[in-house]
Amino acid sequence: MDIETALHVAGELAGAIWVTLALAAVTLPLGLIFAGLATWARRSRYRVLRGVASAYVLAFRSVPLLVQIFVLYYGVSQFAWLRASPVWILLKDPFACAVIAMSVCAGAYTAEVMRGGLAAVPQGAIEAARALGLSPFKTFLLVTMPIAIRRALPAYSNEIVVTLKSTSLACTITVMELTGVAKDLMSQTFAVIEVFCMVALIYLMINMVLIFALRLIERWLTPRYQRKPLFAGRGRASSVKQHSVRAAASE
Amino acid sequence: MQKTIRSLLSTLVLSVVLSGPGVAQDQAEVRIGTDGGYLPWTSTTPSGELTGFEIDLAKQVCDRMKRSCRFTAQPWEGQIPALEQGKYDILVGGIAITPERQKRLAFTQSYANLPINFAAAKASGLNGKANWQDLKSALAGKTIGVQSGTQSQKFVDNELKGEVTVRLYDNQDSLNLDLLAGRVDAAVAGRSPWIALTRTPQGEPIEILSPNIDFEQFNYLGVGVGGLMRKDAEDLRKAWDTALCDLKASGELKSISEKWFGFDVSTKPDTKLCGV
Repeated sequence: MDIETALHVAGELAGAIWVTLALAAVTLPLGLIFAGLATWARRSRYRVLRGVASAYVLAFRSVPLLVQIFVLYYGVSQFAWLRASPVWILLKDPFACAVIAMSVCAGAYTAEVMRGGLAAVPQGAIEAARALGLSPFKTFLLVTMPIAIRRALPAYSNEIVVTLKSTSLACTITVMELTGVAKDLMSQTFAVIEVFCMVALIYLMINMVLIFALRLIERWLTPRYQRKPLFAGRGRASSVKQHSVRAAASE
Repeated sequence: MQKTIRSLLSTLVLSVVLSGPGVAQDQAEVRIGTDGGYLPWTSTTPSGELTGFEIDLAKQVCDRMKRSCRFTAQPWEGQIPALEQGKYDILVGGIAITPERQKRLAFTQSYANLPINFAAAKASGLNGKANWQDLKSALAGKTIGVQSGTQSQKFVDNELKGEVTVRLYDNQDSLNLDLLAGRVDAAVAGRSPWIALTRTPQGEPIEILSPNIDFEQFNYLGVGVGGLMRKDAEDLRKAWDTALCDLKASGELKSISEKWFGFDVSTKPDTKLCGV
């Protein structure tokens, strides 16, 4: 690949980064909302609600995302009555279809992450809060939730990275994000290795920034005495061990 | 013990001799890669079998070359890398002969040529334009669907860039679905898939728009369709071209074309290769 082609390819790919980031940025909050609703419903006292939420989580975790995207995009559009309904305004747009399919799927996975976080809250802490006279709502807000979030964050950061990578599936329904643009560039230039290595590098860089930022947030949420160093060097690791031993002793 | 070693050695020698380059070339299957989703060029039946104009043609060529052929369906976008890696010996499936492709790869002589056409819903009012300029101005601001990596995409990039919204599809079937669903206002491809689509019951609301986009008019579109192979496969290319010359001269290519397209898409024998 000559310099001119390389610059052309790099320019086109740089433009597509925003589409990828936009997909992830819209999908993740929506997924969080779906997950929150599912988690709430799964802990509800009504059996029907629990059943519906469990079925949702099971179904969308079990079916490949690509299949979900195809069903929503190509499958649903087969029905003429649907194309005549107002829903079509949303489903006509490939970007919207990608966001809906991905966020529903991310919601199912995130619901499991939330379940794990809630299960990791020690029963004793909740009982202690109740014994101190905190209302159930306050107990949830001040005790259960902070602990659950802290426990769930490592798993959720995984979900964020997976979601960012799965945006690449949107190119199968004509959304020109990174992978879609790369495929187009590949058929123009035939420089398969070069183009896809560049794409891989871009994904790597985006995810590196994300993973580092998430580690900072994790660290910030961790009580000071439990904090581990960001960069595990040999010398510092031992000092931290001593520090945490001391912290544990003083507790 | 010695006997066993000797017999082992002789088997080894024999197998090396048998698998030597000369023998392997004659006996090895010709591995043909094709899209399998691009009627009537190449298509997959519901039972998973490959059929189509180029499948029939390739079978005839293989018969004439006296070699066994094996067909494998793979989406178009991955075919060229697979060919370059040696997974296939030749690719067929409505592949246009272009200078860019000729830089890296070799083509057989062309055996078919078809114009590019736009297609749209009958209700769109886009049909009946006298020339390309009229159609072009009618398309301004519309959403156009096209399969990526095709000559049609190149045409859209060259003639309509910035004036329309372009949606790229992996295959013609997906493009058909979105044209039928109304997600794209018009779609562009070689004439043949539109003929196939408008013949089906669900393709009834679709029509082929005039005018035809001829390759002579836009010469960057190439000289027609050929089989694509690696430059090092010179022997196979010669054998394939000779067989094509035969099929063209005997009129068999024409009859295969009429079977699949309903008319003759075949091109004339290459003067240099066929000696006519």
